[in-house]
Amino acid sequence: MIDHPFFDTFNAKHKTDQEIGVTFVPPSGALSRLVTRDHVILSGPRGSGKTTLLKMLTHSTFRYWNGVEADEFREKIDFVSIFVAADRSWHGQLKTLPQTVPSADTAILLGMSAFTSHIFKAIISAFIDWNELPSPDNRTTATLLPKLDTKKESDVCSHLAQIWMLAPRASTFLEMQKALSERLSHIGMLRNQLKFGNDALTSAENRFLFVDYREGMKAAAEIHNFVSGLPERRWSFLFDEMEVAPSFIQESLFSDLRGEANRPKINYKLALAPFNKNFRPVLDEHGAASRHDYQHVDLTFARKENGYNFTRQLCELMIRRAGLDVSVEKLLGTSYFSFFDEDSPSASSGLSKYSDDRPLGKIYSRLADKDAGFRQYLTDRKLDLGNIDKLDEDVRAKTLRKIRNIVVMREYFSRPSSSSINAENLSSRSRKTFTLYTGNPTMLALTEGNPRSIIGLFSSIVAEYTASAGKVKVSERIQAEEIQRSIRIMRSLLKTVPHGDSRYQGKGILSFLDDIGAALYNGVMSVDFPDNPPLSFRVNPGVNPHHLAAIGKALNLGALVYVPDMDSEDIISSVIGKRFRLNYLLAVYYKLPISLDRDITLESLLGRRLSARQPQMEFHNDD
Amino acid sequence: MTIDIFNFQSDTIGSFDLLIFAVGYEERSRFVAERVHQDSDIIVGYQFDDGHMFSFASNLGFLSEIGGHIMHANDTLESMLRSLGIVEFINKKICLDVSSLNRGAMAAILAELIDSDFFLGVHVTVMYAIARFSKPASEQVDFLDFAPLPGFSGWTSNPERPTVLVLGLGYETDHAIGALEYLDPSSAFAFSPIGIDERFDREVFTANEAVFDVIAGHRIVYYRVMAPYDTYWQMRSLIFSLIGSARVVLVPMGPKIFSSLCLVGQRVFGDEISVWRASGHTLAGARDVSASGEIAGYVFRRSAPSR
Repeated sequence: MIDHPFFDTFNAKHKTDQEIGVTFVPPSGALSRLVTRDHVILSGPRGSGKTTLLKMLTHSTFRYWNGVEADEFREKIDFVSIFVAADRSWHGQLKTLPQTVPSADTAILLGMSAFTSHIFKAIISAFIDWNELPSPDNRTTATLLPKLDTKKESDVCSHLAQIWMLAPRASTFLEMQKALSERLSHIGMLRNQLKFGNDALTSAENRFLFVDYREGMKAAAEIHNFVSGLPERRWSFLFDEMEVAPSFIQESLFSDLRGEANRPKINYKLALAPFNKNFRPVLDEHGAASRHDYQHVDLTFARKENGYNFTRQLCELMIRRAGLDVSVEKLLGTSYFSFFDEDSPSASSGLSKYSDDRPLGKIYSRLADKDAGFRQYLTDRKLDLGNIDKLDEDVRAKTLRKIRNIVVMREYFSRPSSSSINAENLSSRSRKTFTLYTGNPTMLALTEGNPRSIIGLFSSIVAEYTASAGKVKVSERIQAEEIQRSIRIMRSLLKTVPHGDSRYQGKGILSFLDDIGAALYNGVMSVDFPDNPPLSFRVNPGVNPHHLAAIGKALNLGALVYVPDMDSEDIISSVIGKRFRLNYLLAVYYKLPISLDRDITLESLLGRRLSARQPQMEFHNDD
Repeated sequence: MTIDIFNFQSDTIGSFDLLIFAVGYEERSRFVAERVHQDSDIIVGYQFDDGHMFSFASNLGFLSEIGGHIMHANDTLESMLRSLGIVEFINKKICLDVSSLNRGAMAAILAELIDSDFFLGVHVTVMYAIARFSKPASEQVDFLDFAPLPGFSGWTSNPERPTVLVLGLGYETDHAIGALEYLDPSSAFAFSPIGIDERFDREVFTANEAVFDVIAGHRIVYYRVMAPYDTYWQMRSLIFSLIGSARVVLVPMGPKIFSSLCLVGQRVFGDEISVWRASGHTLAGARDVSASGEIAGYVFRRSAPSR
């Protein structure tokens, strides 16, 4: 095992402020859209950097960033932030409440009270951080975060304790924090008591269960602002990982996005996965919220080129932190597909790259030798590979360039044949399979611009490069092995998530994705040469609800990528009518080109067996 | 309530007031019962609703031969014993064979034995018949049931603390790495079993290569399946070093004896610890398993009622 020199914890949730700040690379445009005065929905699949971005809005983390835009943003963050952490294991506990208490209402009451206490703890934790921050060297931060002396701290605590119905042993932030931990513990005890009846809920000592988090947050802002002498100071509440929260918490926060009353002083930044069944219905119920109620920042790169810049920057930061200062190109070498970018005749030879003595031209020739479908395609279009230099540039672009990636794939993944194409079985994979996808920029595309994928794929590669003191590019063998390893990890995760349909009983959504991948591969390797095979799919109405739910789950895990028809779309509450493609790492597993091409309906792709109509279209969001 | 854990000597097993074992489809289901039924007053066979194949019929026949009673998935142990006219079971000696119990059934039975006043002061000898080695099923069975185990989900008073995952490794390929990815913890440790057959150890390593790649070597704890008492202390030591600064999630895969230690341990270590299950629902990969002849075990004792 090669030691990973970079980010040795699995996610950003509990990295130190310094670790996050010094390694921060801002995704293009995301930070400037986050610092708005509006509510913001920050969406992206797991690993897309939502937690990091939210944490960068806190002064305790931001102060460590020394990127080129840091000074500009230091002035723009003219508000204070409360980071409310969450994760799957805690929400998993909250979700067990309905199984342990007598009624669903009681489960919601206890769950909301636990969540409320957790928000209050986050507020107090921020107060402690603000008081402990070293004196900031910029004016905005210094103005926003004056230190509270003991008297002022006591004032804040005694007022808040009253409103939060808390009895700390002393009016200090630390004692408030302890009292809130005890409250959470008390709620756990109540959960056990309630197995024997609801009487405990009416007890006077449990009236705190009905404290409303909105009122508690508002009071915290007002009291701290007042004591600090900053009545107009704005607050942002940063809610992380809301996609794994129980529905009742999600619905409550979503409905708050419609609240106008506190907007000037308090706003939310909610981190969500791309698909959420509760989002739109809740907003619609509370007055058909439109874009003016919140901003949407999407961290998904449906088109691979849009993610290159961010991926390259993060990779190069990893290389620099390993002690070298070289480009990604030097680290990875050139991709098998890099000839795609240049199409004019070579200046020295005057020959087209499709000439049969050039690397690309040889691929075309080899395919023509073994693929009758391709020969027929060329004949139908009167294309003679032996006389390709005589072709007009426009014609070359419209014919040969258009089919390049399909030609490469069919040639690479087929065996010699004198007649019809003899495609490799999809299940046969070797290192050679993955070697095709090595090099720059294909390796960048495989990460989807997702920081976790970037770190996962590149950590060992950077370590290998460092070990060789940057003398030679990292071999294709090692790159291929890392691709293979990343795919294995992603597929293991996908196995854990169930698919509800009886056809997939006992299987995770991975089997469903395997069906999609196999169908797309069959399209690329069909007997007739396909010049524009489908590489994405659109969900048609009438698809079995279990498949719809599986698509939502795959989307949130990053296994599928939403391809919006317009530049940017909202959080998806329904997948019907939407277009999706496979994550490019999975596309490698299915031996597919790393491109979008045209779409096909899911029903056409997988056949009618998947389209059992059901009257109730129920989504399951229990990912 | 206090729970004490003791070592177990298989050559001095003694007698029991109650023997509980699973009437499963594995031949090894009855291995422990065959050795202790003559010294057990009441015998209860836990019968699953499905999986009535392979050695199930002969195991059921054996239960009948030795005069055992069937306990179904929805029954409680207390109701089962009350139906036999028993009104209390305080300070009794119980043998619980976990070899063929699934984690859900094991959690339900252990929760009752540890929490119910009906079983105050009991001594529970947990036994596990180690299987004869066989290669893992070639078909990789997807695991889908990934959630806190009912009754053992814990309850944290510090949700802001980092989650530390403690995985028990088994030889199902990539299950552990899937759990790691799914729970997305801040840090992870793994307990890797050392069995009585080197082939088993090699399979465990191969199935978990991806885990060994992402969890640093000093965070892998190797434990001997035959020494659960030692394993308990290894686990205790790790958990007490984490508990003040993290929320610990135990995900026991691999030998059932390790799962039982996690469940009993959760009660000892407290509500900041949560035990999750990660196992398949289906019987697609089911196969018969015979016992190797070795039995591992430990004893836990609940504090006696005050008189």
